Amino acid sequence: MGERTHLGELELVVMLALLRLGENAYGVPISRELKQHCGREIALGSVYATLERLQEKGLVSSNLGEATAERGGRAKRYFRATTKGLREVRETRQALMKLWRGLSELEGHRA
Amino acid sequence: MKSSHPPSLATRLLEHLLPRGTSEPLAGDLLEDYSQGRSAAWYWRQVLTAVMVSLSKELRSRWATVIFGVVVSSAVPWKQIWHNSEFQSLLLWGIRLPWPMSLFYSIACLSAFETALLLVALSAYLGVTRGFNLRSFLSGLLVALPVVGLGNVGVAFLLVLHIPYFIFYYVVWRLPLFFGLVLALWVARPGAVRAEATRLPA
Repeated sequence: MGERTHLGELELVVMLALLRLGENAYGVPISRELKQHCGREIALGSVYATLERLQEKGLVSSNLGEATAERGGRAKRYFRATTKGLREVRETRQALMKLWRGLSELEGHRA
Repeated sequence: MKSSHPPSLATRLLEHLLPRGTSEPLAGDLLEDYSQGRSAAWYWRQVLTAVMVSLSKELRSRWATVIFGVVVSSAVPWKQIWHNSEFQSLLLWGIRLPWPMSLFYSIACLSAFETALLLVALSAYLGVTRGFNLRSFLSGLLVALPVVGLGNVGVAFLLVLHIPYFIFYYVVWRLPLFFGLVLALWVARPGAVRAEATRLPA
């Protein structure tokens, strides 16, 4: 089994956004997904830096798509979670669930 | 009324200060979002954040170069050298120049002295890291020379601002050599491997 690569908070939410978007995961929709589900706007530059870090860890791959006129002739860069990335998200989820379990303060929406 | 084009200066900054693999798709994303009603201020904020994030990543990946630059530029005893009477007479060779020629001459001498230091430091770094070849050495030097020269012009003009003595000698005066050396090393030594996108066949 390969060595574990621990995910930071932003890395985890970006991975989850990628998985939700599937084939259409490039900068703009990823940023919107993060805003919609996390309630905060994260600068596109920070999103790209996180994605590149994930790619350097082998958790994400990317490819350039077609250039379109509405983007001034610039190509979209599509991102996709790799098998290693999927495994990492699953393991992070399990670890978080273990930590979550049995915390009475966080159950039943009590303040 | 909002312009249909984003601020061109911001786009140019983005294209020149970020690696191409990132700048092209990011500029496209920003344009796509901007054309859907975002403001010029939003565009500038996005560009400046991207530049800062990229710069800090670059600094982290080349921390050894930055530390080397800090050590070399801090180690030079400028005050003792510059106020040394033998050094001054060596510089002037008995010539007495009127102002502002004396100022330009001092800037040129300071830049030449720093260039000599930079040459030694650059050769030592490339030699120790086994990255020495003439082409990378010359390209590093070519980038560093204008930085050192213009930096010293800036330092000379800052003299009139009455900056506190300590900050002037121990920070401001060292900046041209620091930036010149770090830039020379960045150009001369290949950087960290970046994650790039593959281009799909058409």
